[in-house]
Amino acid sequence: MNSFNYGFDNIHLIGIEGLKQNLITKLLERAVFFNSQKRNKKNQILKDCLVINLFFENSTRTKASFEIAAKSMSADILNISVSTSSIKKGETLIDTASTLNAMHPDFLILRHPNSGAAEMLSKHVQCSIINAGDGRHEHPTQALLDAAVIKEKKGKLEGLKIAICGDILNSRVARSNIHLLTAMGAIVNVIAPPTLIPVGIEKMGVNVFHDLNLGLKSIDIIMILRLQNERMIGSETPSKREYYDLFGINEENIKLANKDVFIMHPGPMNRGVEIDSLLADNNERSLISAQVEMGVSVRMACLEMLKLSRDKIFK
Amino acid sequence: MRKLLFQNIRVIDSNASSDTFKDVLVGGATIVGVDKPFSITNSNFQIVEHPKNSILMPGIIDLRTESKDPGETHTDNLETLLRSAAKGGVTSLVCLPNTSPVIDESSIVHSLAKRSESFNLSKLLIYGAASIGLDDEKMSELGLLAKSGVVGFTNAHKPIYNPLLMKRVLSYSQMFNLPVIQHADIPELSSNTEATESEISTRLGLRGVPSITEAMLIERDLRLVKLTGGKYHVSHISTKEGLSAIEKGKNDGLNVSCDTSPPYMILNDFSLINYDTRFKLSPPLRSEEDRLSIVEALSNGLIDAISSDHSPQNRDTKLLTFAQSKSGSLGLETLLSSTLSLVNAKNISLKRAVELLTSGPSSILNLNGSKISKGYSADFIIIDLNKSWIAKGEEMLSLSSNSCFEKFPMQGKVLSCWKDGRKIY
Repeated sequence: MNSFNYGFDNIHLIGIEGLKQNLITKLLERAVFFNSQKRNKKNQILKDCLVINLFFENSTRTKASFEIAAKSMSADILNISVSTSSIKKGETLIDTASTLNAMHPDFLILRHPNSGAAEMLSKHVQCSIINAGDGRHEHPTQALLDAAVIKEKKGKLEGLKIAICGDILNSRVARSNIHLLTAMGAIVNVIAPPTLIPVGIEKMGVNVFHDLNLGLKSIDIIMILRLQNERMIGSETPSKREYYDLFGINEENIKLANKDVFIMHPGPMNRGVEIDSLLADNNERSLISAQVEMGVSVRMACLEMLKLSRDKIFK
Repeated sequence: MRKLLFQNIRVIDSNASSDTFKDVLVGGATIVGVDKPFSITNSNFQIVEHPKNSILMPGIIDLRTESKDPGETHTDNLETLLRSAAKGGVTSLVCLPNTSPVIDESSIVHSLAKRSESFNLSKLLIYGAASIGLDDEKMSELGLLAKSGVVGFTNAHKPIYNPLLMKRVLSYSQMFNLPVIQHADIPELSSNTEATESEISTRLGLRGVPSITEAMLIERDLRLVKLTGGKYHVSHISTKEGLSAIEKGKNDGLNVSCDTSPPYMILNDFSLINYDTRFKLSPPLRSEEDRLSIVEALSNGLIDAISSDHSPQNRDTKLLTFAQSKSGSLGLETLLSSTLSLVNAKNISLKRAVELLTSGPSSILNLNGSKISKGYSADFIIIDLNKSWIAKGEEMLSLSSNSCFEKFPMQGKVLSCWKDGRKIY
């Protein structure tokens, strides 16, 4: 396989904020290339590399996606799930990571419930940190895979009108997507009740809507976020049915958007809360499976990019 | 005992006519003479040498420090607290009652005071807990605490939030003419938050508390102060809105005062961008607009004092993620230099800086001191305004090293610290 020049000189991927437009373009291009390759044929890009998945929160798709990406590049991978109960046993994140670092992995994929966890670890270990979600801060590979899917479907990002609908306040996916889409010249609407819109979000270059009907007007892509309803009912929003009534996306209200609109969801979905069940299964509209598929390819591109940086720096 | 003479030294205190070169003669624990340079001659004294450009000013009085002793002596102990104070030029410091056990009984006050005296260092003053166990429900024995020598009442890092308790404490404490010290916050709005709610907290994904919570509680309290006639002081004020509330209270003639602390004079919430837990403070760092309003209020007299807000935190608790780590920063050893940085930036005069550190806090606590005049206690410091140094937590005398000014260049240093005529640093 031909080597690819990303022009990136950091060994960690912590967030989208601050990444240059041409780097994002290259990552997306490479992801689409990996997506076109047959999965059953492994490449050798990460041969002899050790990847550790360190997840302090539950995850099915992200963890599996990184694992498949690493394996299809011939890396060895170790999965460590740290349940909340064992965090309470007292070992700090830095101690856990230092222990793993002493086993000389090349990559540590970290998911943690606290914002800033990935950045903090990157200062204490020699391996590359890939942020697989830190609190409400960023989830860079999710934003990259979303963008890669959009680019594949629409041929471009610049000038597209994209609505992000749901719990913007607590969402790292929303933040990473806002950084990426605005950097690439898309127009971004965020749609949510005022209690789920964080202060100052408009300074990140988005338009804020509290009325779904207004926010969906001439939209090309609707990104629906998961409502953490186990935590939010009775606090940020009064009830599931009220949320669905005001902000649930269904076959009816997507008619307000452009007629070739696509819908996306990072999963896991709450059918009947933020998204109507029928719409979720509408394969002409929904890009949800494409997102999962592209997830593996984007993570391959990210792993390759950081491997090349490591080779350059530690040569 | 031989007297000590500080000859031909620049003396600054809050007296209108100060900031001139003088001779200062100390006999025992008292200043026995202050006169024109080289005019004190016919006495049995020992001349204390001092560098040419040094200044003699009253010892700093610090309205807010946290003693980890008793309770958490691996984080800091009484001796290291007092040594940090002396090194920082603080001759009297008040500690909060959030020790373990809580200082809600006179026996704990006696024990702490007695132990602190045994070190012959700075004077430890004590706030009594406003509520038993800081529970914000039942009023402590304010009278017995007052008799044992406490200088005010507070719930420490928690606000006195229960309005009935606040009303009672403001009323009852008047019998002893002691201030009620408030940490102005609304717990329902601030619990589990990590930063001030702003564009920065949004970008970082940190949970934010709106900055108006400070003013919300002050505004409520002022109505109770008006109702009761109590004496009310807001600690580490940090917002523009909070300051306007204080201004209104003062204009209405209420018995109200406030202090701020160096982080709120010098830093803003932009410092959080790398999630450095040294900047996790309570109240959290505010916007630049808030910081500028704090600086202005220091200059125009709305803020009465600067306190160190010294809060040692164990290294373990700062090695966690931002959300998990504890709030607080060391402050005693950087108090003078960080205040002088506003003088160097021409935000306040040197004389105003001296007031904010000495006579300002002194009058809030009804202490009679902070003057370099005949008959006053010989509590003073000699400082070099120009000496440059770099703040390093590891070099500080506390058992902890959590300074929010880590690696900051500092200008101005305490050369020596004198308490009751004895050199304690």
